[in-house]
Amino acid sequence: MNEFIKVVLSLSVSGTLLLLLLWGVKPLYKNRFSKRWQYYIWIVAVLRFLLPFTPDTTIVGSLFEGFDSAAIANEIPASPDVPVPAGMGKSQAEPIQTNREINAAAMREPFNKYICLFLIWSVLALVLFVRKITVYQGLIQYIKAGNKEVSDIKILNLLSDCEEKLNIKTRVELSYNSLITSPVMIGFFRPRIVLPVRELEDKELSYIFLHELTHYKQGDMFYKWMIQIVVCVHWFNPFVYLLEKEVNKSCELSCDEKVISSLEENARREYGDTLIAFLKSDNPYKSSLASVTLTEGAEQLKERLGAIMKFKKSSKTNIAITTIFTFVVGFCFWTIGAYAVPVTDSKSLPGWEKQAAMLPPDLTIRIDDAPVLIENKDTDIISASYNPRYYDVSINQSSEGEWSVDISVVHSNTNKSMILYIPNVEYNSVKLEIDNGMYSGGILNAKSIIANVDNGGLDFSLSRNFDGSVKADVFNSIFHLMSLENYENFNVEIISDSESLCDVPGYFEWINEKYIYANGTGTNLMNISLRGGSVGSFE
Amino acid sequence: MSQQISDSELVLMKIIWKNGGAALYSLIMEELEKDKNEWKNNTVLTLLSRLGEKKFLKVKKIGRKNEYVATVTEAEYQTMQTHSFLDKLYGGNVKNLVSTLLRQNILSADELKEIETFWRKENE
Repeated sequence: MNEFIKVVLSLSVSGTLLLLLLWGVKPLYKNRFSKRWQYYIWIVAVLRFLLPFTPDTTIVGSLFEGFDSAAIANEIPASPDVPVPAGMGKSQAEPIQTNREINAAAMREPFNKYICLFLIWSVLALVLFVRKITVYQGLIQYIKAGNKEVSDIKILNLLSDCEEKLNIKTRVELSYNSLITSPVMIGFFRPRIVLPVRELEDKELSYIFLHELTHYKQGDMFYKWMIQIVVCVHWFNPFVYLLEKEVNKSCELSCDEKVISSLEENARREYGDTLIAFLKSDNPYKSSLASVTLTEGAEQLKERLGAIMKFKKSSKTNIAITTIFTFVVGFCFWTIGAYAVPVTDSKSLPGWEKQAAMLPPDLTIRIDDAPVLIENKDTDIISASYNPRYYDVSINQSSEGEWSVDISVVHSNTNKSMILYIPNVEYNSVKLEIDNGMYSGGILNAKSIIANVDNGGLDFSLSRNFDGSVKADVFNSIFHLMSLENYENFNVEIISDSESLCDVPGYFEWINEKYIYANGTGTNLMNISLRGGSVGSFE
Repeated sequence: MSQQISDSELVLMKIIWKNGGAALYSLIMEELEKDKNEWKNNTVLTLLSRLGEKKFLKVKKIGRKNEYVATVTEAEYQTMQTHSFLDKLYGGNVKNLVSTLLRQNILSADELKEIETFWRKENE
């Protein structure tokens, strides 16, 4: 699956999980925790929707890794020509099939499908976002068209008082507008409060100012636009609209709470009266527009008035519970996680320098538990491409010039294989030590190849003009060998538990519990021992 | 410059003109204290920055202090206002304006004569 789509989908899933968690336990905290906390806690969900940072093992992360293998299994019919031996787990046999198939069909066909999906997703996200911006700009222009600056010193002084009270350093502009019915605040960095044209008492005015300036102080414009980004990125997820609604609602509640926390009992009632006075229905531009108005609707106003009347300062125990709960939410944020694009690490040796001696190099490859794809490369550098979250790879060169590669698994919960690139050169000796792992692919040319396979699989080809020996001891494993020249000049001896566990060319002969074949000079010695129910196949 | 200066902005402009076309914020505040209205810091700052946006004022930084410099003189501003006033109400026709002034006894015959002699002298 396309990695990018996977990241977006996993963010969507994990964001939704956290959102539903917060939303689900809301009855528990709704009347206990401060409205301010209830407003800002949504940021955790917002971040979960947006940030693909994640610890190593997470719920959603592993879910999406499982997704991957499931998708591959669906796309690829099991190839029948690789026999699965008795007594061997399917898990060990599978990597060969999958790896081969990934390289062949799987890479091309679904690729287009995912590109398509990606295009649909990104175009819609972009269109949505641009639309939101233009609608917002439309609103700004609409408002600006009817703006008249307020130059009444009395009103400006009132605003000035409120700014001082809230300790706001930015200069806030103030204007009248005949086109709006409810006060509104626009602008990110140069805020402007716009008042409807109507008689307003000083008290009303100062409540309006306090309310709008508190919005500014809370950074609500930024918060609301952050939500808009979430909505655009996750437009396909119906839950983000729930998030938008919840944030808008708690935004006003939090703002009210902040304003009334500094007011006396009867002033609170007056503040509520002001809210009712501006409950409007005929505003042409409504909610969701990420501008901050005084009131949003009757249903919500009822909740706000209720909250105003019930307002009480937080007790110490309440603060303690809130803190604990915040940590719980943070912990959930972390453990729900997301799917992160695997990092491909690459390790290489500077290469076997063509030294004066020009000796053919020795190569040892040790594989523990890992499924490894081998590919030949026309360089003299040995390198590996793998995700360090799952594999540990060390490539070394001894003082004698011998190359050694050790591959082991850090985290076994993966079906992803890694690729080892080996130089296309003639080796002196090659040693393959495979324990529980899988070595598959590549062509070898060496004076001598010695392999030990235990509970795993080994699959490689012998090069053209191969001039050397092959010796393998295979226990409870799959062994597949291919000669590009039909074992020309070979002297073959294959010992096996049973004839039926071997698939050999017709010219091999089964005599005395072994396959024998001799051809040409017979100088290339090949001794294979297949034990413990090992399955061999030779081409 | 078609933009209008509001009454409260004009109060500030007058202080700056009186001070020779440039004034520090502190001086403006001092002058305003003599005014019967109470002027809050933010109010004054808002009005000053509006004047800046309308290009009637320029802000010069002197250390950490702001000096407000008028870009038009009082006379220039009066001329501008007179023109726009004339255009708006009398379609640019001065004769109509003068006749209104005379009819309403805002301008006496003596004063008109005085203006006439002034005008002749100017043109000699």
